Amino acid sequence: MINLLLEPFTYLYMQKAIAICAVVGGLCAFLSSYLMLKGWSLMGDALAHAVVPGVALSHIFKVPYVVGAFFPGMLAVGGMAFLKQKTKLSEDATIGLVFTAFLASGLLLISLNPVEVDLATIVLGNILAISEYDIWQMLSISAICFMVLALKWKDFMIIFFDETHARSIGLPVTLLQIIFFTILSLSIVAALQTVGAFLVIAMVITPGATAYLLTDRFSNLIFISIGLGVFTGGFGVYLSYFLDIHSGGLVVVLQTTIFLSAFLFAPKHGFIKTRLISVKV
Amino acid sequence: MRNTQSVAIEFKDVYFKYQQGYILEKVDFSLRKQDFLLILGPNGGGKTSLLKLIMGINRPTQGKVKVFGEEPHISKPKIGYVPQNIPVNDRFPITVEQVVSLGSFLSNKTLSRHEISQRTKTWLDKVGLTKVAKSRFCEISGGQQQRVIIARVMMSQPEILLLDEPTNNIDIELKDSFCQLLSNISKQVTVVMVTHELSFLPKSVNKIGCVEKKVVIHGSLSSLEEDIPFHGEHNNNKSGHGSTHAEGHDCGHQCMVDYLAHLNNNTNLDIYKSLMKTKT
Repeated sequence: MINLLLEPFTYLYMQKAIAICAVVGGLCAFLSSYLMLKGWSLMGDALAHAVVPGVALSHIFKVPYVVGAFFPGMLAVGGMAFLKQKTKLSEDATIGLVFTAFLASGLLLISLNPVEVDLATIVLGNILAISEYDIWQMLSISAICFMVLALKWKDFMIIFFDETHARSIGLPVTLLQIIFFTILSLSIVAALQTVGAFLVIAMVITPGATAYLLTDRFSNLIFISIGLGVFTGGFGVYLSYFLDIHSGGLVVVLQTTIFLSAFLFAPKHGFIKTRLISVKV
Repeated sequence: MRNTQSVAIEFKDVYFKYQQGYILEKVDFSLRKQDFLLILGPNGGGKTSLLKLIMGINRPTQGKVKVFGEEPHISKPKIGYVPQNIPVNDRFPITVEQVVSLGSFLSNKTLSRHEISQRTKTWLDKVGLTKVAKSRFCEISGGQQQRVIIARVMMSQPEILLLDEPTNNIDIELKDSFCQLLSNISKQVTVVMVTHELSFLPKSVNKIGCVEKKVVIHGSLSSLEEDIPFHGEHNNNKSGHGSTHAEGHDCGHQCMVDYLAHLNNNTNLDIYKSLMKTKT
């Protein structure tokens, strides 16, 4: 029995996939703590789709994945910020406009070079087929992002909680926001290979949303969220070995299952608990 | 008794304009340390712009603003600001005591956790919110949130406190304790409070300013009485305007009502009406 349970770890590709997915899951979960609270969750989705043309271009021109995907991501963030500032359009409209434009151009590029670019790899990810080069690239991205977030988590918290206060105490708000979106873009590029463009949104929403139901303190929320991201990332890939199903899909299903459990059974903010309180009142 | 005569805020012939035109013109006044200036004026009269000039967020189109003899952006760490609306993210899982303790971030980097905790407790006690210290910030009332924000600002030990319509969310039953809180704070710092709600009038207010493009500062409520000997009459006589520092008995709201009635023909109507509503 033990041998059977340890079987995935006897394969190098599985070891790598589990480790990478756990690291990227943790990183996305860290970001989800902020995005979900600010109401910027769709920004993550928009970025995931906006980097598609960049991924296609990096395949076509044989440039590093991260370079090709990163710049369209930042361009999309800039585009959304510009439209929001210069027009009276609502935030969801600007997000919708920009990400569909980028996704459409990505699909056009892929259709022009169907042999070079595998659409399924971009939209669904393929963590099991990841190359050695991509692994180091993702680990480097994750290490840098984790370091910045660990050093600046409180600055980001102040900005996301009360931007006016952040400015009044002299925090470089605009610079920190640029840094945050840079980290987000990089993380999404990393996550694309694990769960793909379609499901990356779950990685940057669900762990934070689940943790929100479990604690009243932001610092605890971050720890719970990262824990969930790491666990679901690693365990999802591990479990996919036995079930022989798409690992990205399973990671997201696991995250959703845990969220639903928290939604029902969370000790203070769970549905059942709050229902019981309202019945007593 | 004010011990120091040194200047905290100084406006020298300041003009400020947005695209649509001048908001403030020829503003010339100064405040000493520990002065408490109450600013009145109609909506759009330039009250908030005045505060932003002090904070260095706005730069004067012409003239000079000095805070402790320096450019406002240099003195920024010495300034605490409580905005009109509390623009916080109300989804944030953060407790009242955490919000207050955030006030020491950046300004008191040398403080230990224990010192920050002690100071947080002290300020929660001063603003009367010890009982809700562990509650989520988003679950307390607007008036309580306003006091939390004041405590947070005071954690950074500012030398100037700017309050923009701080009484908007305060329950009328709490007005005395709120006024007392501000009076206590003003013993240590220079306070500038923008308001249109004169039922909240801390006793330590020693200067009253009217802002409507131009800024007219009066020494005290009692000085208004001296400045305007024609209570209730509508008159264009401006002889009373200018900086005075008279001390004396508090002439109360009627004096201010008369004063605003006097300025009525200068579009101070909004404030006048709201005052009348308060009085009735």
